Amino acid sequence: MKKTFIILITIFKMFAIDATIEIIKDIDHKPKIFIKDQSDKLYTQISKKIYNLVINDLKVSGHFSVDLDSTHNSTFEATALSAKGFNLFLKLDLKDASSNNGLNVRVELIDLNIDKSIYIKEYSVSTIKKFPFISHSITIDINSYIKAPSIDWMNRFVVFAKYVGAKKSKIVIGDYTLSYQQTIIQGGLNIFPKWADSKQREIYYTSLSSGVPTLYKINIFSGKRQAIYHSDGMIVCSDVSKNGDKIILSMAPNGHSDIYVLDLAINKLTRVSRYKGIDVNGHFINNDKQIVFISDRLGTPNIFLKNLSGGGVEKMVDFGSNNSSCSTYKDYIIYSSKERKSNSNSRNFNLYLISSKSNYVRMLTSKGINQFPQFSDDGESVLYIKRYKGISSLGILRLNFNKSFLFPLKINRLQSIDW
Amino acid sequence: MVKLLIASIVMGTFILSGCGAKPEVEKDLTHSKNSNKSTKVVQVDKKLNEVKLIDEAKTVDNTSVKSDNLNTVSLKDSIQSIYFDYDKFDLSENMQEVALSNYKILHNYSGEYKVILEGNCDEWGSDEYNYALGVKRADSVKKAMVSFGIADEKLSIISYGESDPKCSAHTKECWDKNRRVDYKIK
Repeated sequence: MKKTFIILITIFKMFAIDATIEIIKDIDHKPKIFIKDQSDKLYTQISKKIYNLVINDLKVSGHFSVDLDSTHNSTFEATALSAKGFNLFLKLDLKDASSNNGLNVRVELIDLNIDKSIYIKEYSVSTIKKFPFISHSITIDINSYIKAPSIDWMNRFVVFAKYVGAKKSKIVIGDYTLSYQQTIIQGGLNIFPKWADSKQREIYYTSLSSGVPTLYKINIFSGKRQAIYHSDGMIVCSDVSKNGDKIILSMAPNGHSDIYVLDLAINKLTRVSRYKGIDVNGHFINNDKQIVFISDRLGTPNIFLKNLSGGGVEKMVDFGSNNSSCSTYKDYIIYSSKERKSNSNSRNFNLYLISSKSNYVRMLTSKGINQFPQFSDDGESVLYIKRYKGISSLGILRLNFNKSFLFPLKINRLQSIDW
Repeated sequence: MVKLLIASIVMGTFILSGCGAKPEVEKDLTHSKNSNKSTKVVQVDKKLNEVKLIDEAKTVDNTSVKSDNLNTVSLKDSIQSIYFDYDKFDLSENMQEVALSNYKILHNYSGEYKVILEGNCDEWGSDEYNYALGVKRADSVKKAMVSFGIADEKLSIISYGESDPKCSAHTKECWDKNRRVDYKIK
């Protein structure tokens, strides 16, 4: 397995803890797990990939102590492992790997504490390149066995747009590490994909292919597409309410972008912001009663809060010279900020977590260009894109464990991403 | 018995899950030696296999945005792009002059035409903010052209954000070339 397959870095150890949020779940006694790949040598290349991704999934979960001596084709057996203090023993056995049949991996989980085989399962995918979903499913099942908090988000799709030429892009879905990618929309300039429902059946996206910015909703399984709205200048679906009945739009029918809320049930469009500069990137917060958005109304892009019932706006951040993107979960906001010390040729953007109900601030990254932050649907993880020393990575921040993990990113020009 | 106790402590550390249900296991499997027993097969990409590929190139009518009309070729060759400073959308004095020059060319043109003002940005800035900045740049040029005397209905604006770079190197000189408004004549 290439060394570059997974770069696993723990960046942060300790952060300030705010009384209003439980940041650290103290898990002192993580189950110690040993993984053995006993696949036939015929399949070594692909079985190593599955094996390595399982190990890294287990680490990313934060719920296991993964033995660093776990090796591909180890000769260890249950008795010896039990004597060494291991709690769990996972055996991987790749049974089939072909272009016709895809992959079939047989897995056995043994609980060494009670000397019992817990289950034997076979995981299959139709094509070899879908192997990451086997790894994620294996990890989710082990996690379920130990009754740890759910990591089902590992099997959620990430959707993103990438530029493939001048005014040309593709919309792609992938696993959470982007080790697997599958194009779902190609041809023309289609950007800003956003999941339309929690079940990940539909997405909103903006098409500029006709010359008039148009927002579409498309079912990725049936291909059924519906035009939602169009606007001169730009139109973007920035956020979707929890039950999917309202969406926040950035539109510019008057030569400048403002925030709008579209109630899909009654097809009612409400203009939320009225400012002749730039208002974009609106996100629901506090049970969809308020929104936060990016505005340059004080000279540089910054985060503002507004009640949807009316009233003025409130600035949320007092530092950073360019706070131009954000994501929300419940009362929390994560945003990317350009550091003031950076000069024009060496620009650092870091991620910060703040609460909309207190003065809580937590710095999440410390170097490089960190952008496109997106909360997971359970709010416990953050996906982001990092560029550092010329290398682009997909980052996963596990907020409850103060750890971040980087996966190599093979996308030259990412446009936007949603999880 | 001691091992069983340890296992219980380990599980107990995850009390936040609040999960009382037993995990999905195959209870008839009692040990790894019993490998001849039936196993559960999980097709993990079932959902993924149903995803469709949409090719917009086959569904979009591009005739409305074609701008290579023979009658407007001379216009296109004469008109210059308007460039902007970092994170700015106002026209500098130099760019005001370029806009005025563009106005004169359009004013003296006797044929029918419409102009799409395309706002563009460098690679910096967030995804949405960049597109909004492109809108503001295009709108600034539109206002300048209207103030010079071009009819409002002849002008429309669109932002292409950072999607249409004229230069792809990660240098200041390159970024300068990408912060611009192009005139597309049709």
